[in-house]
Amino acid sequence: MPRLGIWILLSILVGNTFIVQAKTPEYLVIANESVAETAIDVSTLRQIFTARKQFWSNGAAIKVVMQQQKSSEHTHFCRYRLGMFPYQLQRMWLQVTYSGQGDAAVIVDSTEDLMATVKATPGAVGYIPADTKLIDGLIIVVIKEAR
Amino acid sequence: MRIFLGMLLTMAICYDVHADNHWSFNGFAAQGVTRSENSSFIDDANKTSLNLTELGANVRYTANDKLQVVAQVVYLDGGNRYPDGVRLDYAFLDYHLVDTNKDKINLHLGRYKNRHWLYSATRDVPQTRPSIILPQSIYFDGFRDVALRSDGLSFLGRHGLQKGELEWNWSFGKSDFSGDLTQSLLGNQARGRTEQRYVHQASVYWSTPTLNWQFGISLLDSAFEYKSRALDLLGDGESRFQRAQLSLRYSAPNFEISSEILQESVELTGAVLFASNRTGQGGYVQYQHYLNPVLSGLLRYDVYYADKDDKSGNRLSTRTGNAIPAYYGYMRTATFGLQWNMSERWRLQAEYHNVTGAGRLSPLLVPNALPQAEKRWHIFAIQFMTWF
Repeated sequence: MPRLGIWILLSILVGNTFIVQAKTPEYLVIANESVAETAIDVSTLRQIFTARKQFWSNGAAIKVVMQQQKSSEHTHFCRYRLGMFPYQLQRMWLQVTYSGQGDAAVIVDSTEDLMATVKATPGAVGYIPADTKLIDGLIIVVIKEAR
Repeated sequence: MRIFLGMLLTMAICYDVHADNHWSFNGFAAQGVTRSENSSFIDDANKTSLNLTELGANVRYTANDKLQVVAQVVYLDGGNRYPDGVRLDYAFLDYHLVDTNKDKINLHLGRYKNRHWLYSATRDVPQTRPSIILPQSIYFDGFRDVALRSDGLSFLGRHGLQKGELEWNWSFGKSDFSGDLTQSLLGNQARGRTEQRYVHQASVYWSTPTLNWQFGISLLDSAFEYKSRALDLLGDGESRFQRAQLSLRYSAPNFEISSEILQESVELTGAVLFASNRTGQGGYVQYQHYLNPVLSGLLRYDVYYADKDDKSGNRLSTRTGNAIPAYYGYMRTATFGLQWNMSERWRLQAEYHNVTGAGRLSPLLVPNALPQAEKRWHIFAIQFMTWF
């Protein structure tokens, strides 16, 4: 009988895991057409979104565009794509901006604003939910998963 | 000062981040209300005060991907915590010596920032701090200008590992000393002039790929020289100040734990009143809980002993003929704070500090019972801030 209980518990846990995974929001990384990189690894993605990598390989400045910290898009991107939390990113960007280590990120109000800003800003990079209808003039940066 | 604050607030409202391909400008403004009960740590005891103003503006010029030029000016008014006025916070050339996916090395030349402790590089930037007043064991306000920045050179490096990253910092320079700073090191009887001969610092941090664990060790070595003047109670003297520190941070989805502990030694030579060599110890543990992206709370316990062999302060009191009470030998602080992110660039922060002892009110090098405090004292502070 206890064994049956364990199996039921395990199946619930495993089932829940599948449910959670099925609901994990997917995000695409988008960039301005001027950006030459079309594929980067997760580590480089983290370096870009934490202001530790500030220039593309051709020497152009990276301009990071993000949604507001309280938005679900920003929270989900930090959590599921970077494996980090919004308060960590905010602290790092503020420290970088006010200690002379880099430029501030651009903060926008919506996914539409984000696409428009990335399209209009050379060197810009941002993120959108995977089911968003992409506008013209943007490229998708493929994220190579860790080996 | 109020006009300057008004101008900056207006700029913050009207002026979003202005940038072109090469220039960028940013700034911040914060005004608070504070009250210390039974201590003159911030202002005259038991008086509500507006001496909690922090303003800053910075500029960055990106010449190319290898060289940037940056500078920041701040105006600070922290009451008795440190001398008020305008300061050149940093001004340096930032050379990117190495920049690959695995390694990055930068050289900062000029007035560089101390990047060796968890909050040291931006301790004067209100929106980057977990609380209005930082834990005094590590971020002793009387030593603020010396511990914040120096003139010289600083190397910053990052090295990617299979599982995580190593960050290292090495710096060598010296700080200019005002008369007020001399008094914060040696007490208000000092009439002469202090010169910092050098400050040499190094630190190494290891972190996991997502930075949810960070562990660091840092070392500081500095020497000071004091030249007395006529009618000075102090004679010429020299001192050596050294600090070893461990830092730890763990970040989870809804909370973060940070801790730093230190041991510091002060060696003095020369005719200095009441002075003796000592080794101090201290540190803090801090818990921040993020209720949601808008609201967070903070609990912290901070402790400091001016002399690890005299934790009660009794020997300090006896040595000075009871001129300095025993409770100037230690300081224990419990802090409770709240942060409300009203919008992306506006924040309200409030906190309460319950303090026993006055070990960090005394000048760093020479014991002294000014600023005055009773054995038990409190601070209330609330600060409104914006940045752009």
